Amino acid sequence: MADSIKRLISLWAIHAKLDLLWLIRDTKNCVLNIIADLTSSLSTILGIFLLSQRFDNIGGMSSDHILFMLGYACLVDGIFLMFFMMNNTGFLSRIIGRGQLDHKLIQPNPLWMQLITEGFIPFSGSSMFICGLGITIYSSMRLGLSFSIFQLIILVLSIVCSIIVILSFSCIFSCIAFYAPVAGEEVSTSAYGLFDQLKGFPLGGFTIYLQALFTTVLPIGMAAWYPASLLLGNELKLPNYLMIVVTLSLAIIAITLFKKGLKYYGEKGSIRYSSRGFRN
Amino acid sequence: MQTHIKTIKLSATKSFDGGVLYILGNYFLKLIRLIVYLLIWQTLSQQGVNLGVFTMNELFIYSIVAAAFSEQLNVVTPATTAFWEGSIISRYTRPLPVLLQLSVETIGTWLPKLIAFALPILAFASLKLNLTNFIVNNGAVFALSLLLSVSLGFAIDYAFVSLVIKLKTAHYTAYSIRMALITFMSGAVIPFELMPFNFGRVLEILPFGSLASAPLLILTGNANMPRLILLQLSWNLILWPIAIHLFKSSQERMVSYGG
Repeated sequence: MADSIKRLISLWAIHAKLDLLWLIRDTKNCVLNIIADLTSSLSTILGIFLLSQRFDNIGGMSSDHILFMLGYACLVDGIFLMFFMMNNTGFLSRIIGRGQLDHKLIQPNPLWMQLITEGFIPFSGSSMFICGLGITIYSSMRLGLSFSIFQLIILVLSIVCSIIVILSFSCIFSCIAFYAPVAGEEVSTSAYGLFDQLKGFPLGGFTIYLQALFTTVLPIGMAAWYPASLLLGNELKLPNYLMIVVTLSLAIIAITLFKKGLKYYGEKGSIRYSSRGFRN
Repeated sequence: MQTHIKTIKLSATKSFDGGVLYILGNYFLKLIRLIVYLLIWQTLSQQGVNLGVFTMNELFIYSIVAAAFSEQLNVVTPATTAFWEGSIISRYTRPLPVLLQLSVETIGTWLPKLIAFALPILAFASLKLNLTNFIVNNGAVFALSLLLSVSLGFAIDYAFVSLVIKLKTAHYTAYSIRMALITFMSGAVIPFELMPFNFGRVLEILPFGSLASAPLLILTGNANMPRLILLQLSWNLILWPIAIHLFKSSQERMVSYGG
């Protein structure tokens, strides 16, 4: 256990160094990339922000509540960007569908360790996290919220749960690529896109059935609305323990399907590359 | 003409190269996003807020038509991808003008979505939201406005492509920024009327406002039609010569490699 943690930290350090080198050696492109990530991510929450400013209340959330929720959404997005955007670690169907899982299986680190560490970009990928932190602190001040240590721990755990939900949901769909590598290669992009584009929507005005749909089967509400509402102490139609149940359920389904797919991959391999090195 | 039809066919079938799942995944995503937006409009309407010039039905029509014609209201030609992939070179070996080829290819890429996504949701809107009434009342002017919007979209895309050529290897970065900005500045997602701080008034007169907001407002009957058509026509007349000049002057600096 101690060795694994030590190895994890040293691998994160290696990827952080690589990221810093990119920033130093290719500053123009790196800064452009940071601006692009920030613009794309902020554009996904801009619509709801503008609507909340115009109408002040959407589905039982005031404009300040919505700002807090959007800050939370940015934090989740920022951490996802920082840990899972590089090398497609958050988009497993690309790795599987392109036959690149082989590259990982021959390395002397366990697969899970590679997937957790290879996407780490703390310098070029931190813009959204910083932005989310700023929005969350600003909205908390406007709402007069003062977080105790316990509440801060709950906030961090909620963010971790939100990220596990997104990764698990993406992984479940990614497993299609084990069986249909060409058709399934980009399926995780669509799965992630669901959260990317819809995470900032306040679902409070929806019926309980729609809320249940959007927090379980299509769990976009778990990326921001549900946890932010709980943290703000808003009354919910859904049970308070739902986030833990959904996170655990999705994680278990994702791991089970991935292991099953990996077994199939071990038997059949990948047919994506021709003998001359081109991808089919 | 036969050549262009052939190109359109090839381009339309090429959309399935990535597999049916990829296409369906995108349609599913668009559909869910549309449904969530419709539910947001419904929530706002039930709260009794002032929706400006819109009724809830008109907002539904606005969002559904915006989703159905999203590719026509924000034209993206394969040019940026062609630089990214290095495939732009093959367009220079064919006996047709490059911009014409890119335009015809773009029209081809629209077909699958128009058939598999736009038609069903427009049929739904006709059955449930009386879209046919809106078409009968404003359809002709809407068609003209949509045509001007598509033409303007091509001009903006080619001007953008010229900028991409200058940025050399940062194609995808520039593309991401462009898509993020235009989606909002065109009024395709949030109608200008519903934006706070009078943002909409400013965005309406910019060229991006002529891309999506103008035809959608015309269809829902909430526009000063002659003013918007004139504005669209003016932006076309201003931006097309600029786009052609920029593209011609940028071609010599084109750098591309496979990605």
